[in-house]
Amino acid sequence: MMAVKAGHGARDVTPGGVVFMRSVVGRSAAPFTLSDIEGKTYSLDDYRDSWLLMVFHRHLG
Amino acid sequence: MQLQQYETDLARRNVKVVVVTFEAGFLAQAYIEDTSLRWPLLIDTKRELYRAYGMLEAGFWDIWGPGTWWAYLKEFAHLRFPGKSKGDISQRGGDVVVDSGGIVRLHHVGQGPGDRPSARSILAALDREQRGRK
Repeated sequence: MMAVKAGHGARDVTPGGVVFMRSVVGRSAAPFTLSDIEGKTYSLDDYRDSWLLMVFHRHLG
Repeated sequence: MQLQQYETDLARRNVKVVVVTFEAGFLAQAYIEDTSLRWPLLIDTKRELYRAYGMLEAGFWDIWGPGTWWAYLKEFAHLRFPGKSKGDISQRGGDVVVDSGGIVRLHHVGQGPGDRPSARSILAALDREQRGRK
């Protein structure tokens, strides 16, 4: 997997006001295979026919 | 989860959504029930995918700095009172968009609890990216 440092790289402010980091933009996505709480697995390859938004939570509780 | 209100808008843009957490078990189950989550909640207990996208541990001032207090004040103004966290509050969150070719198109790492793009901001950024690809 590729690794980047948080907060590093050029910043790109969109008209919507959100700041996105350019450090990994344009690079291949990190492959993953992760399970949900029921044990069903999901992989990056499952989303080849669409765009994928991954929302990373800080903490749930 | 605010983003779920925009499920139709995301689907219209051919965008699927997964939510990633490092917490499993009771907290994950409670989150699904509390938010009526309709998207997959993926468990990344080793935080490998977090690290792959630069979502490392936040520092003290990222967590307790002015941005956090401002975010809490906005919540209080809406009569929402976040409870005391039971989880690891130092883990950064963020948002990543990957296109159908497997290329990262958007990448945001939250610098603290208050640094989270709104759903509308994400949609605006998606529109810009998808227009640029045509």
